[in-house]
Amino acid sequence: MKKFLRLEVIFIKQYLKQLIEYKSDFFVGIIGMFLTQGLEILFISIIFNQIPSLNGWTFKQVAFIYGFSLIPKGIDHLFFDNLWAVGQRLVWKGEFDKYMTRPLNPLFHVLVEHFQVDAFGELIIGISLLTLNISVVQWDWLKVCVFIVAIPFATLIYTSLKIIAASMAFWSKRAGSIMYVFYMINDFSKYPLSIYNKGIRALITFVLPFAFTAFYPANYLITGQNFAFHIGGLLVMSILLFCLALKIWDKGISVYESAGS
Amino acid sequence: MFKRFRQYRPFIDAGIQGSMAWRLDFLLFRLGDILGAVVTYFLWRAIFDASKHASLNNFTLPEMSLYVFLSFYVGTFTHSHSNDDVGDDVKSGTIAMRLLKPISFSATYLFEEIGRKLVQVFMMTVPILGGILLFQVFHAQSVPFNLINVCLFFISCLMGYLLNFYFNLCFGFSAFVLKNLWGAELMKNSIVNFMSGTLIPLTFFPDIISRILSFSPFASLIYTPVTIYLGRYTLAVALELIALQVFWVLFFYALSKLVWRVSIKHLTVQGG
Repeated sequence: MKKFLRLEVIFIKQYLKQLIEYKSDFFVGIIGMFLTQGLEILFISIIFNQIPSLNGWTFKQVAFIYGFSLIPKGIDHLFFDNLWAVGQRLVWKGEFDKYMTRPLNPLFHVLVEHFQVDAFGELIIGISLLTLNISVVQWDWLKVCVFIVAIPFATLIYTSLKIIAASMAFWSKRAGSIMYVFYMINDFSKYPLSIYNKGIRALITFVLPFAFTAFYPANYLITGQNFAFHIGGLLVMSILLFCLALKIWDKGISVYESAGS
Repeated sequence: MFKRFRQYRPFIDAGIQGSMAWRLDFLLFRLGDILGAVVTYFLWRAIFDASKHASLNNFTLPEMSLYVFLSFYVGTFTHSHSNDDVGDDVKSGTIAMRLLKPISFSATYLFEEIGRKLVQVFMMTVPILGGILLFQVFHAQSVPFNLINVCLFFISCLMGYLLNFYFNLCFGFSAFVLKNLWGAELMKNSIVNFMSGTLIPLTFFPDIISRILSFSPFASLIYTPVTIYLGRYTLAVALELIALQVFWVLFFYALSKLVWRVSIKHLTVQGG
């Protein structure tokens, strides 16, 4: 464990050195992420000028859910973005060999190698939305604990689904498009689930459980209802999914063949 | 004219072959994109449910549903990759090979992309436009089918595409100066999405802003073709809007030539 932490620090240091070299790219990336999310919030607020509430949710509540959804997404983006590279080119071009030949777990190595600071754009918006709308939750100690525990487990759902999608590259060489489809499905989780029909609700609850990354835990915080399903479900789903992801990844590694040249 | 076109024929063929090779990837990416449109559709449905009025800023729910999926279709149609193509060529140094050829440099990108577009638009048109037509059959009163509008719609899409191509080309030439374009691209896309009407129809903005935006090149990309399809304009107004699109195409064509003159001086081919 100590070894892993030390390695993580080394990788981040390396990455920070790169950043200093490309300073302007760094800021442009953060501003890009910031604008993408910020303009969408503007869109929601323009809409709320027309209506009092959305399926019983007020603007502040919707903004809180939206902000909550950006935190696990941003953390996953910040630390584990390198999985995209596995799906898009590392396996396809045979560059994945590098990870196989080092005395380090390949998954761990892939995960910590890169550090994606663009994610700060999402995190800044997410944290601001949560802070601005903090009053929609009646906070008590239990809820504070739930919030602190929910974030890492929600991130685990993101990362596990991304590992599964990226592993497909071991069979099909490139998995960028599959990862993209997975990734777009998470868009469903940033609004109250009641606006969707049954099929979509079932899909993002049980098949690709993105609903647990934002709407369900935020729903518990706001309404205080159904702890067992909203929070228990999050823990169970994230752990099951992570085990499944590790299984699929290992299977994938065992069929990995390097590409020529 | 015809002889000149023949010179570019191989680029079209290369584009067609390239996109045929990756057609499954293309379809999966569009599936991902359409999920975004589906989210927006459900959001609008809930909004209309919550609203006391049957129409919001002159849009009824059937019209808004069509708007969401049409703007998705137009977005795919007018999408241009030219900035990435230039950026990749700059990074890998293969741009040197293109510069050596005795034909128009930017036209090689245009024709290669037109080849890709032929395949992609064909794959998209059947399911998406088919679905839209079917929807119109069921909601015949709200958005009647009009053949003239459909023809104008395709002309307008084509202008939107050319505009986007030259706009992105200007942007891609900046890769000669900046090296990493990912963040800048994200920034550009989110602004364009907002101002072109992809996210929300321009009539939802305050009056002055929506009026200014409707003259901007961004509206020409998405909003103009979609509202033409929806039959929002008389024939004369629709033709005027297409003329405005043509103006913007010419403007960005000229601008891309200018940016090219400046940025070529900064080009350094790394390796190759």
